[in-house]
Amino acid sequence: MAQNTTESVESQAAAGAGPEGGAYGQRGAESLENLFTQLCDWSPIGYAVFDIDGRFIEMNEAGARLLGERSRSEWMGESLGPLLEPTQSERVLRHLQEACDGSGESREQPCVVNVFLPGEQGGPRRLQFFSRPHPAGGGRLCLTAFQDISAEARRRESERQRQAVLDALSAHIAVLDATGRITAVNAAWRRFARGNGASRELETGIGLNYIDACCDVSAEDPDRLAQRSAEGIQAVINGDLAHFTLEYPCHSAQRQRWYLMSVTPLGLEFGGVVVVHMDISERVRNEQESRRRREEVAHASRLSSVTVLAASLVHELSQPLAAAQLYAEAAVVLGQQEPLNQMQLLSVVGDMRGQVDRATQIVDGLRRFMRRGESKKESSRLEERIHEAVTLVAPLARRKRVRLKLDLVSEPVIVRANALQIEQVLVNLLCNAIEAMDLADSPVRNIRVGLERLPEQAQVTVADTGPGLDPEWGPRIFEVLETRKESGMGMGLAISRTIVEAHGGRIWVESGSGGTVLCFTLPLHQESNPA
Amino acid sequence: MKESPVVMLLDDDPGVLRSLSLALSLAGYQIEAYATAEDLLRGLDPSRPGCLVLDLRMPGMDGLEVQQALSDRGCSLPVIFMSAFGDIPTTVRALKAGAIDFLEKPFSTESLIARIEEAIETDRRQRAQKVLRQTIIERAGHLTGREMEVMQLVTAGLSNKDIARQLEISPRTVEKYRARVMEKMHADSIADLCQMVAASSGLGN
Repeated sequence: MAQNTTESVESQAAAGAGPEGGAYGQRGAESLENLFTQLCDWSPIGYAVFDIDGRFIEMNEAGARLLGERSRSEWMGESLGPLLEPTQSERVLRHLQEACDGSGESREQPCVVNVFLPGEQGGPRRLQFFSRPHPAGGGRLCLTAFQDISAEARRRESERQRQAVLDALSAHIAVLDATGRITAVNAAWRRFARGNGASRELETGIGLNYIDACCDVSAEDPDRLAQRSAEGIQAVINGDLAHFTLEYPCHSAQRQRWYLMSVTPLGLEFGGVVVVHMDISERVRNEQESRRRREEVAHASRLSSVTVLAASLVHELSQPLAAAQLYAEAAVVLGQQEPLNQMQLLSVVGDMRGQVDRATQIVDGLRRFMRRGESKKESSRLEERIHEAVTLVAPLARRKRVRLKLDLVSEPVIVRANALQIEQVLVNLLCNAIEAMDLADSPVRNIRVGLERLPEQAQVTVADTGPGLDPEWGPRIFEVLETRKESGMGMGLAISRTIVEAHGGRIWVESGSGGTVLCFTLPLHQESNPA
Repeated sequence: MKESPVVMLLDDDPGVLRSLSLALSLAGYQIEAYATAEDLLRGLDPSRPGCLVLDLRMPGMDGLEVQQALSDRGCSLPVIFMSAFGDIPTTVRALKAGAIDFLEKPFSTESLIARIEEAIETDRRQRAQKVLRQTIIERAGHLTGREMEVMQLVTAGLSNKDIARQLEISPRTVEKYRARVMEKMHADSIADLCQMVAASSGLGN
């Protein structure tokens, strides 16, 4: 190149002519053509002249580079055909023929065809051909410009793929930019918006500021759900939260629905988050179903409690009733006295009212108990009982922010038991632990449920990180009448002991390191347990 | 005897104790209310007439134990038990130990007063009987051996003739002893004398 330049300067000097000189003009034009040729060779665009049979008549270096396989000179007189799939080859040839004779779609617009060349790792390379008739080709030549659009195609492809993946998901997904504006939504999002009678604008949602939209609806939102979601999204956008989730009901006229909204940062330079609304109605309904079952179990336990406690409950109730009756009769006497001592009368009526309140409280408490259960013992896997109980208690644990950890022996542990009653015991122990930690407002709230297989027994351990058992209570927590007044849970323990002992097991309390540990054993079912 | 009767109340439930005290005070009774068995036993004066109204079931010393403690001290005041849930064995034990009555809570002031009246009447009768018995024993103390023998045979329904034959004395002498017995015992008739002997059963043995 340097040599060329030198030569050019020398020849100019030798000519001794000005820029306007004809000889110089001639040479200048040649030089210009030379420059264009060089430009052509450097450009990322391939230029070629094809004949009507699809053979290369001329091509720049860039074209050869784009095509690969051969050098520029080797392509001369050759066609692309052998490189291409037969159908492709045909299509390309037709394109070039139409370009040569100008029979393509439009004389003004170049014909366009995509040519797929076999590529290396990244899949086939995609070239786009723009062809027009050669002005001097007599309908037998065409001019073609072509470029590699593989990267662009791949980008579009992956975008389409991303959208297809998003669209294939049943969750409603929107991508927000750092200002909270929606930049993309999936099909489920659009369908949901349409189903909810959203306006056209909301239906696609693109361009809408989601945070503002949330803030706008907060007027008719008693639980501040919209406001809380707006705050959550903002917090994730700001980086104050790594993740935000919110469960909320969204009932339609036809059915009850619940959604889980989760907000996750995109992790991009310009910020932005993904907002996903997942239909959790089934889970919520399952939970509701579990809750119903749990209540039935608790009910049965309470009825037993009532049976066990009937005498003391009657006693408890008869005291205020006796007092109230005596006060009432005293009030009648006082009311007939002359002169009337109104202060005393009112004081007696007040006392009477106090006793009636006391009785009412007892009756109210009693009313909350009540129901029945059946007793049938059969071979039962203890780990399944634990799972059942944990499932039943899980919603309560979640609400009280208690983590349940299972530490179960891997092989099955089979006992002969009334499954429901054993679950009831576990539920009682778990509820006690939850209650204890909740009452004490424990900062760490974990429950470890352990299951071990001893030589002839199975041992279940429920250990909490609560305040621990008051030493004053000790084993008395299992006695029927020893009820912890604040929670009424001592009763559950009495029932639990009754059940465990009825199964030939033992229940006891241990002082753990910072927490209460309740253990019970059940004899293994010898026939069923592998030795 | 001139002392007015006292109703002593024992219940560990403050509501019940207060309402009982009020209802009975308004009905004109003299009341002593105790919340614990220990207080009651400390405050008790067995010489005063009246009755006891005790709650059967209490933490610590229960009604039956109070009843036992009273009987150990020779106190014969009638006891009315109040119970919320009187099981039969407890009731039987209490009645065997001399409880006069049972009331299941809740009860009306009226029914309580009826039982208290009965109890006070019982106490009054018991006290009168005690006094009478003492008088009879005192009078009988003045009888000679022979007079005592005659009184026993007379009240056993023997005729003067039979008595004379049994004691190997003359019917006349029997007549004389008999007149002296009637006089010393302040008896108006043989029936009267019989009643006195019955009231002080075991007399002369």
